[in-house]
Amino acid sequence: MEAVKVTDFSFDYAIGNETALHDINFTVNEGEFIVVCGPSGCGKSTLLKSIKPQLKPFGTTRGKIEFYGEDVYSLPDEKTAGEIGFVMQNPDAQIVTDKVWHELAFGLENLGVETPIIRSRVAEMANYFGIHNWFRKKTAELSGGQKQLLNLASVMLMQPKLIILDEPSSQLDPIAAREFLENVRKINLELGTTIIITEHNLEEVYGYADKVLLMEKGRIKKYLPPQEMAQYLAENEHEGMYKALPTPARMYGSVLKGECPLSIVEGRTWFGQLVDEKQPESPVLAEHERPSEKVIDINEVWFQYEKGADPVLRDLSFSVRKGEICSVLGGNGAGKTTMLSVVSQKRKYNLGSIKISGKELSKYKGTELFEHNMAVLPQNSQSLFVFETLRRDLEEIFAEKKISKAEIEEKVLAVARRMEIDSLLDRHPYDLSGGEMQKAALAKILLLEPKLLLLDEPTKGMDALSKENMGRILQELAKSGATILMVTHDIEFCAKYSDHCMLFFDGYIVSEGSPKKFFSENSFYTTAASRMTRHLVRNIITCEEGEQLCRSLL
Amino acid sequence: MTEKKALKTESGLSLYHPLVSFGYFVAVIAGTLLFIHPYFVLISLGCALLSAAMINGKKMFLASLGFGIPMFIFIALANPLFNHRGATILFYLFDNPVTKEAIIYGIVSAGMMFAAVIWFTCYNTVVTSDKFIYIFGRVLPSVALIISMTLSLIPRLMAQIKVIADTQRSIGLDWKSGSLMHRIRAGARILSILVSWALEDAVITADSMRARGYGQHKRSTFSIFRFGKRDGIMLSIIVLLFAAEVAAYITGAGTMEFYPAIVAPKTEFIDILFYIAYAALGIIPAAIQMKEELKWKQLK
Repeated sequence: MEAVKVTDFSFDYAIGNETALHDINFTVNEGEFIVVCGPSGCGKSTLLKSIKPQLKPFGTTRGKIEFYGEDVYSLPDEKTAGEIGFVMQNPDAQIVTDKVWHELAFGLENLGVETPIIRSRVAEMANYFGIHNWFRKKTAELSGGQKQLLNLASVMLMQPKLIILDEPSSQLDPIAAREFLENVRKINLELGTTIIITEHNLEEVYGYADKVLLMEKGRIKKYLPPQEMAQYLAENEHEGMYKALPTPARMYGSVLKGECPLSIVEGRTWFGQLVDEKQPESPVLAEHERPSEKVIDINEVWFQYEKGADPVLRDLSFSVRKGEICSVLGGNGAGKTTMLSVVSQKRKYNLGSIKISGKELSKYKGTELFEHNMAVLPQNSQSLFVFETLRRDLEEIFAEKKISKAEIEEKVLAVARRMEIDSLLDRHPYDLSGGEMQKAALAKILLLEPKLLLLDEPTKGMDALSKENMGRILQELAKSGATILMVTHDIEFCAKYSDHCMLFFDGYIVSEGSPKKFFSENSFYTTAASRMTRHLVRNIITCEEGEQLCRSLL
Repeated sequence: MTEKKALKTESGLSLYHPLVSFGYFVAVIAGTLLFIHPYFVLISLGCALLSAAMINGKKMFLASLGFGIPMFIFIALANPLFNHRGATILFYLFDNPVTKEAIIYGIVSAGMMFAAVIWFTCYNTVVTSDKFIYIFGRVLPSVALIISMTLSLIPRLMAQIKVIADTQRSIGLDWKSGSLMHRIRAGARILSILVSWALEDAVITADSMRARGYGQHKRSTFSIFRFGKRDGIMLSIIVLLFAAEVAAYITGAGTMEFYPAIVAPKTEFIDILFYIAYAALGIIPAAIQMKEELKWKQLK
């Protein structure tokens, strides 16, 4: 049964110059899991929204979109409202009401369903997603992951046949993102609901796909099962998209031998076959030498949110040396972000000492700490922007300083070039994609000429290519003498770009070391490449090292 | 923190359907405000204090006393000082007569205000905002939805303000320090970011509502409250006692003449019945609570 059939569909926006859609043709069968991918601005979102009549952007269409054999735009509203579910990116703004139970019922209320029916459906769904434990809570008290799960459950309550998800996990941390996507997978497998999803980061979702739809400049480039798509991407120049593939598929792509593995388990078997009789040597761990100058020096720090509360930081000690990229990893709610807010003076610690560039933190008065010294890149970079163009926003950093106009323009242009956002300077900051906005935010704080950068989850919502850019920029900054401390969940990013890694657990640093040593010694908390190869070859950490190893085995 | 507070109230009258608890407070507070009569005020005040002590928790109960007692004293003193009606002049203060009637009227009306304040603190504990919205929503569903949306928006905006202020501070624009001009500038900037952020979010919220079929059909109103048999029984009792109250008001049993001279409260059979009915109404929260606590003791 064809759930969605798109024939010769084209779309032009009524206003603006956003990429329109040209001659789109594809079908989705009932119960399929479709991943739509493509570089940002390729028209993914427009395509997804066009399938949901209530969200169709303003503009002219040609061709046809059929939903179970009927033109989707001529179906009655209450049918498409219920049967085509749509989950968006922003977990907060999608929530309409103040209580979890009310949010769940909202859609059914809109369709005029009677209370007893709503009651039993809500109960079913809350149980299915494990929401019953926070059923009576206020929506404002939920975590990001819970909010997005609530959004999914509220849509599921209307018993849709098709669910469309537009980058649903890009504002979640990797752990919450994985849980969320597992739930989407569960719906697909257990209830047979058809799924169409886009994601920046294909690592998780790629292995779930029945078919992958690759888009480029408003057209469909390829529509293939994931294995064949991996092969296509490896053989053809499609840099950004190839880098977005999960590690097993990329390692396969580097040699194109055998059957393309999609999961770690398949990857281990595949790698075993590749190694076969050969006995590859494990690379030797280089000696880890750290610079001696301590830019951040934390000694036995304790922190509690209030008197009598559980300490979030317990006897925390560590240092960050000059010119290092230092990463702090650790589970959700472990207190990593709290640690950053203590270091950046947002919160006061109870005991111990923190020295920034040799000076006690409490001796920094007013905004002294942030004048050519420390800069913080917040998780939510949207909160940095004020004006209608990015250029004005960057220039306003100098608003209260006595610098000539020409000099300001020069500085802004220099930093924009460095971040590769010079073509975006006249755009509205809110119109930037996740990765672009993150780069713009970094550009803004770099104008303060900081010596020390604190980054909170810098790769959140970024696609593979933007991550690579970000990593390169951070390495250049470190080379030019800046010191970087980042808190992240992104193991792969951390393995590739940091000089020193630390594991934060139960309020202090449990283990630390060079990324190579750190990840090859960890058995669970480690990179995909390491998990795929460690049973045969030691000390392979990043995907690039894995690819190199595979090539050497040919 | 908020969770702990909420848990404490999940007992006694709070466990009844909002119609019951809301109806109860309408009945008891109406009685309190209508009857300026020493016996009724005494009954109301006694029951209010007993209920508050049992359901509000120690801290809140003491706080309400801390406000209620000074208020009681103030009103009781103010009336005879400013009101010189009444036939029995006791003495002159600064050439103004102070009458026995004014003193007694002052004490009775102060008691009434005191009782009303205490009843309202009980109301606050039992009829939480979501119950009120539910009651309200039965009359005006669309307004109830707006309230619910607002209640979800406010904490979100508060959280966003904090994020924005923190971020702006870390790029050297702290609204808490520097010259006045600087502070105003920094504050205005925070607001400006907040507004554009909120507008951006509003578009998404509207999309999310439309995507789930809002605005096309006749909406139904769902609630998690269920009206059970015991709710029915309790509501009938409350309605019955409220009817007695109305009868007392109509027959004049609930009013007393203070001026020019006090007529002693009536104590005929029918009046005694009214007093008993009123006391029965007043004692309900405390009685339910007591019964529940005894149950818990037995279960131990």
